[in-house]
Amino acid sequence: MPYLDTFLKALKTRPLEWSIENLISGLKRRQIRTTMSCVIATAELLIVVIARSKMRSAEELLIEIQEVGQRLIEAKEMVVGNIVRRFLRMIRDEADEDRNDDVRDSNFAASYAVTKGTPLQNSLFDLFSASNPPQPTDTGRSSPQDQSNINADAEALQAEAVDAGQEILDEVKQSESNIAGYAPEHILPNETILTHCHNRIVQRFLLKAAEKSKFSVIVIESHPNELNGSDDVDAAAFLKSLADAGLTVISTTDGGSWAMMPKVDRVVLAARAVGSNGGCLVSVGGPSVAGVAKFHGKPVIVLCGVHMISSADQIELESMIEHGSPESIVGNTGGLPPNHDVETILQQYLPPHRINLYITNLGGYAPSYLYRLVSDQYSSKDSNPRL
Amino acid sequence: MSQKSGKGAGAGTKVPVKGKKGGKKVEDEREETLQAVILADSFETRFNPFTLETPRCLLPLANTPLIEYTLEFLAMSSVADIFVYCGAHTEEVERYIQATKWYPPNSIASPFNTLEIVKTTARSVGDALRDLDARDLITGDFLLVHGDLVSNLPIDQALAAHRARRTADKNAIMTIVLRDEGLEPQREHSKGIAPVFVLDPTNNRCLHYEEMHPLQANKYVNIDPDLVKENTEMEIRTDLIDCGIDICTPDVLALWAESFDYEVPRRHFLHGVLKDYELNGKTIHTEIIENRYAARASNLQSYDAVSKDVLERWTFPFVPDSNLFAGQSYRYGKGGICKENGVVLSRTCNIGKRTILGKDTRVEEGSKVSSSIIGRRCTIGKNVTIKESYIWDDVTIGDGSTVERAIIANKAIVGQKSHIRPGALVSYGVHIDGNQEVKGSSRITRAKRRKNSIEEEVPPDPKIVGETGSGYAFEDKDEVSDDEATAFHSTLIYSTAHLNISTESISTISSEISAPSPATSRSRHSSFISEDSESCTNEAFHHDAVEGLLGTLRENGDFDSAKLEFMGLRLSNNATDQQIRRAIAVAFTKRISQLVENDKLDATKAAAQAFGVSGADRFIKNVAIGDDGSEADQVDFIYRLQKDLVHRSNGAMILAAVSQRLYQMEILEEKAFLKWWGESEGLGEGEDDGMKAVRGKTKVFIDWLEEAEEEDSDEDEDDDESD
Repeated sequence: MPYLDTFLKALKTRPLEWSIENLISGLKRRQIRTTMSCVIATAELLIVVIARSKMRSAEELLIEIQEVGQRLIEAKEMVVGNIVRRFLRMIRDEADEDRNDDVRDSNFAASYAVTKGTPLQNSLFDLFSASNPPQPTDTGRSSPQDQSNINADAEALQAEAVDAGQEILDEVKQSESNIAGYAPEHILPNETILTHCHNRIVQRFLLKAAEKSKFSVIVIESHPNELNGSDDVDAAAFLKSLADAGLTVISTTDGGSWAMMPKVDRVVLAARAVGSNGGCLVSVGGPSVAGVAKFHGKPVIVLCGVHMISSADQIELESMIEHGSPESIVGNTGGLPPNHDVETILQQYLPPHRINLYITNLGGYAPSYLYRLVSDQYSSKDSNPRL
Repeated sequence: MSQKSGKGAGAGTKVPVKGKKGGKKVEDEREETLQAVILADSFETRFNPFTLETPRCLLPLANTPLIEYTLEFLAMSSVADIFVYCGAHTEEVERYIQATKWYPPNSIASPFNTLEIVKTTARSVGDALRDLDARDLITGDFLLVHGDLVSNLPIDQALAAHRARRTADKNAIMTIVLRDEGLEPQREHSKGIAPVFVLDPTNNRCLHYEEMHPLQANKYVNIDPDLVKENTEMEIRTDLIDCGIDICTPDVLALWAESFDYEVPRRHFLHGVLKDYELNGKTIHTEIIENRYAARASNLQSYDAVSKDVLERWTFPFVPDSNLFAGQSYRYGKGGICKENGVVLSRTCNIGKRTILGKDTRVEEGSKVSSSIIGRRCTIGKNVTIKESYIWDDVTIGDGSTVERAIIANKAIVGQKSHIRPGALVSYGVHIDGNQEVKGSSRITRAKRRKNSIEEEVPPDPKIVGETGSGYAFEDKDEVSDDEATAFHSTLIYSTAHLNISTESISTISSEISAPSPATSRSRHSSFISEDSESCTNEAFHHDAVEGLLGTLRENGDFDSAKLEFMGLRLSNNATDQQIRRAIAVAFTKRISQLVENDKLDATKAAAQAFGVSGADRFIKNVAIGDDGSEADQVDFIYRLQKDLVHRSNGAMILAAVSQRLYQMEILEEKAFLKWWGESEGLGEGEDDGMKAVRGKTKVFIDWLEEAEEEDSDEDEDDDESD
């Protein structure tokens, strides 16, 4: 990920605006491609946004994050939007905590004043109770001491938000190993696991399980592999790592999945983006494998980080599917004949009824239960896709 | 995604090894910034009439100015400093770039450290690069690209290979990035001039470069025998698309500066440097890419080709729905339709696949649009058919009109029930009345015509745009004399209908062609010079010989020394008698036509001057005709003269003058002239129109000769009788 590295390096020294523009262009030009690097870049950028913010209230900070987030989301919806919403939710939570403390401290007179609609001068309460908070300084009735109080509170909030942002980042970075940690519970000795393409999370998941028990893996290949690209590892490296771990590895084409399926105990796939309805986007060809599994009554497990789950529904997910260059399908032929169309979709939608279980970094969830995770992660105030 | 390296396996193995060798140095130099030079204008007129009003690099391709693609490519390549060179419309380019996100002073978000628009009076690429050398702006390796480049190629690999080579060998000065066009010829394949690369597959070195011209008499590449001796392997390739990306060291600029006569990067510079390898030892390498996209929209046909590639998404991620250009909001929908916000489509209109529609464009009831790009704020009326066309911003197309394979520029208006035929170009603000038919070959503009550096309004031509329309048919005066057959480039649709490119009998080199050439009949008299001997003419010999003789003629030099040189050249190239005659004929006719055209001399006087150079008569007699002076050789020489003069203006006048002169000088005999004339007449219908026209004026001379002969023979008879 050289682009990600240079971006992160420049993030510390360059002006914020430069970094934002740079990330947006990187996303648009597909120079930052993998889900993980998109998430890391976004999270790091948002942490810097918070740290450099000159805000005086949580509201201002939220607006700032929304503005930056809006621009990032326009560049690339999926995971970037999720991270922005996580941050917004996090700031709301931090502000709520502060307010709760304040409410406990405030006296009866203060609460009384609020009910009467007069702005409070000695508390931050008003900042969160009104949608358009009256500025203490604007009222002209604030004393210097109140002013410093507010500044101190804002600084505290800023510090807390940066810490919390860092936690989100850490959680994302550890999500893959967390998911892999559940592997031994789901893969038993001498089972046969079928997977599609060469996803990195699947690789870690299988390797983790291989530490405990030995089993067989059937790898379904789809052509063209590079389409399923961004989160995949090199096919040869993928197969070799599994074989080195002492597993029995069988590679076959996607046409072979029907013949292989009766032997299989479980199908393991990896998601790119997950909707709250329980459907998800997977590599092209994944849904057909899942369809075969459904026919044979085999369980389909989908691996995903919690950060991939969004409030999107099927239509929104399908609109996110990217269309790539026809080159990977028809090769370097130099233009298509007039009646020849090439559909080069880079992801495919897998409906929830084809999935038995999601394994996230927070544990296993049924597709029908994902909405709970969504409501836990994001605030309903940020559910608007365009922020 | 890893790039598969070039053709040969050698390429794959050699480069990494080299990389390892120079590994440490490369590491040190990674910090050095990469610079780039954009040639925003390639000093050509191929996009006329559009470029009369807008610089070429700002023409929209898929609703995004061309230069944006180039800048995105450079941003993707992590270039730090950019210097933009433009010829025409510099202010406009400057104003445009300064308003974009790229321009560093007004935006801290620009990925570039500097972006400088260099003001220059350069008239060619060569001038621009020599100017750049003089300015001393380039500090290290730089990318030389054109302002019309569209590419999604990650340059890293080519750059690393270049740097490794450069650290290993200081003389490896340049790496050219070429695209393998695969099994089938690609749309971007230059249909006019075909580049021929001779490569050493073991190390990707470029050994020789030539350009093939469709009008060229023979399709041969002339390779220096030494190259064959030195290199055990060689690939001669015409299947490479030159996307104009060069990775250069500063030495390249020095070379440009040394050679004042180089004007274009390929035909002059590349060819010249490779030819002078013995002299300067500089090597040029190539990087052949197979699985990424790179192409230039360098003429209207390639504009068409690249636009189609964007529609088919070969350029991904540089497709409209990536919204790379500020302010765009494209979404990719089902069936390959890219729409911006605010597009209004009526219920019964039919938007076909591979279509791009810009913001606030309306398509009314019953209209059909397919494989087209339509800009912003356009209004497409009812029952309009648009196919494979490029319609820019603010265009209005009236009800019931059809537009097919045409380009319609900003703010143009097409009236009701008009028909724009394939190949038509409608420039800015042109208003075409209702019920008009715009022919495929027409280029309509409203631009002020420049006459003797005074701009003047041109009245609308009602024949073309209708009674109330505005605009006139654009004609380019320069074009006819343009040395690159512009006819190939300035039309949207590649067509050879008006050009006869299949005949092998057009025996001029590319620089001498004035299009359109006359149709040449293939049914020739059997006694004429055999086609075979001609088609194996040695092009290099011909070129050098003509140049040498011309030099002598121009300087009024001494033909005795020229003869020595000429014979040397003849021996070294093993040229045949026919070739020699052809070269001499071409040299003299060229000189005479130059005298006629430039010095406004009378054809007779010009001929006298040209043949009056000291030793010229002896030279022609000895070398061209041969010492024995056989009749057949003399006839051949006349044919050569005639054939070359077909392409020249005033050819008929010159041929008459030359014939007379050569007769007077007793170089050619009357029998030869009469035989030539008789054979030509004998062809009758089979004779080429051009050839016939050229010899028309000579008829007087021949008649005179015939009369003289009759008198002669009369006298002979008298003599006989008297005897």
